[in-house]
Amino acid sequence: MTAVSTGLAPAALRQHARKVNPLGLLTGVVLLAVWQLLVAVKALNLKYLPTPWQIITSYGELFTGTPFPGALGHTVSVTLIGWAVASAAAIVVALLLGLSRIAWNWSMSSMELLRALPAITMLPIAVVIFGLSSTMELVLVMYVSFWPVLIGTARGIRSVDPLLRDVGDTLRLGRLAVIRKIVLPAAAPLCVVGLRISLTLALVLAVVAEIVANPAGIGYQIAFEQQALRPDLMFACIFVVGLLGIVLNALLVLAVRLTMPGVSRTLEDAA
Amino acid sequence: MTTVLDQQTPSTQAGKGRGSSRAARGGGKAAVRFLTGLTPLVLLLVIWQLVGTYASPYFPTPKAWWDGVGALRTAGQLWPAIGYTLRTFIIALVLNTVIGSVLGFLMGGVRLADRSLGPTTEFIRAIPAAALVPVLVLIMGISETTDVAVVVAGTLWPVMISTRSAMRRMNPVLRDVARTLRLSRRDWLVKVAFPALLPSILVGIQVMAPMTLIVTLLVEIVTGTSGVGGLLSSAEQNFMSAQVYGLVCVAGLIALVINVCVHLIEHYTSRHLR
Repeated sequence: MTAVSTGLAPAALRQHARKVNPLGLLTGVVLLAVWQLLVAVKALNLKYLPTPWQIITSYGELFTGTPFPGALGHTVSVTLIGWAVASAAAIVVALLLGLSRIAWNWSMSSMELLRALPAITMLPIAVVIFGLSSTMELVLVMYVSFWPVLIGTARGIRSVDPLLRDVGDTLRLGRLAVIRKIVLPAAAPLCVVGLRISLTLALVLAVVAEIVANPAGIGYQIAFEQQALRPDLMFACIFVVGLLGIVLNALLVLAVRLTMPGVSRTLEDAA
Repeated sequence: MTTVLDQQTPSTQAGKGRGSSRAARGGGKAAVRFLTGLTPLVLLLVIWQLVGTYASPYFPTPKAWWDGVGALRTAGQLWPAIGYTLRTFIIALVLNTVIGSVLGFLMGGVRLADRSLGPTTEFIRAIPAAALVPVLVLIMGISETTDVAVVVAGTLWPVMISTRSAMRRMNPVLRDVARTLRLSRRDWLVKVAFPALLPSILVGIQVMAPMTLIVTLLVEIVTGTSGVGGLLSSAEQNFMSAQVYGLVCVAGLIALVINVCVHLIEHYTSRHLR
């Protein structure tokens, strides 16, 4: 990746310039037009299927309505807080697991087994324990965010080249210095992969918890508009959720690129 | 299928004996490590059983979980629910594989298709399947078709992406060979392209299978009507916490079986197809 070495802004700009794809945008517009037409001439005769135009115009109503900005803020803050807390905890646990062979051997398959439990099935358990509340949503978000970061970071630490550790010994680095200067930087790429996966999962589980159980946030608004028989507003909210996922992910990638250029380079090489 | 795969059968037959004995020796060590690794979980469950109260509304004991699922089994609800979940899962798995590999084949092979479909697929991919459940339930009603539609919309992508990149990376010789041998387009597809893409399609399936199960359960929990997810959500709404814990274990077991199958496929393909 030569682009990275020339600095952030030009590289990012060039990448975005390459991403503009008129043909692809045109296809999207044509598909929307076909959808509009099919509903308009009643070829698709489903009672509650809105047309794209109805969805677009409903955004005016969505943004001026009182609940929406607050709902968006609720979902974003629960997602980010839960994800950040769980990730920090996961990195600490992963350090313990990755640096101690005994701890690894005596607990890793428990971790793998727990991780293999479909996270979504934890929703009913969270409801049983915490009731229909934002605490429940937050705990669920923390639970799902924890595993990818833990597994990623632990694998990353285990994959540190033994030679690098020998270098640490040779240079008489202390234990903490070895962790800070050798282990963490080497584990960072896999850790970042875990962070990205868990951010996506955190948003999805927050929205699901809101749809099913916690009366707050965008998820609840989607469920509410279903009761109100407003599919256009539902689609409007869903697209906001999709966009939110893209934005959060892009922000994370940007943050990684700004703070750890080496890591983002290895990630791009891998991809 | 015929050409490439048939050529490989003699060597794979010979390789089988050696490989499996080596795997058995390595497997023994791995099994011991797996069992020691389970200690914390087993300890937790044992302590839970000893210290917890049987009918606690929040943390019922594992014995209560067992009884809760047992009650569902004697009521004849458990197996039909598992069957329903597995059926939705398998239908979605097959649809994902077929649609994903065809789309990936087109987008990887034809640049025009890639450019034109790219943004739309990226956009759909960004939408969490979970958010689609309520709106599709409103539009299509609660039915198995709705369940499958949501699952496919959410989990189509791994197979598509991995087939697309395999198609892009395909050795140009494999394309030229069609002209050299004067293969018809159909023969090239069946005898050259498909076997060449198969390993990548399988990699996509390995990633997609656990996701598909999760989204299947998710749809069932959100609609709360059928399958294991439906049982879970009705147990939760009736405050039958022991049943909730038990059903989570059932879902975990299903996930585990699927993961094992996926690993077996991985094992088989890495030995026979590469």
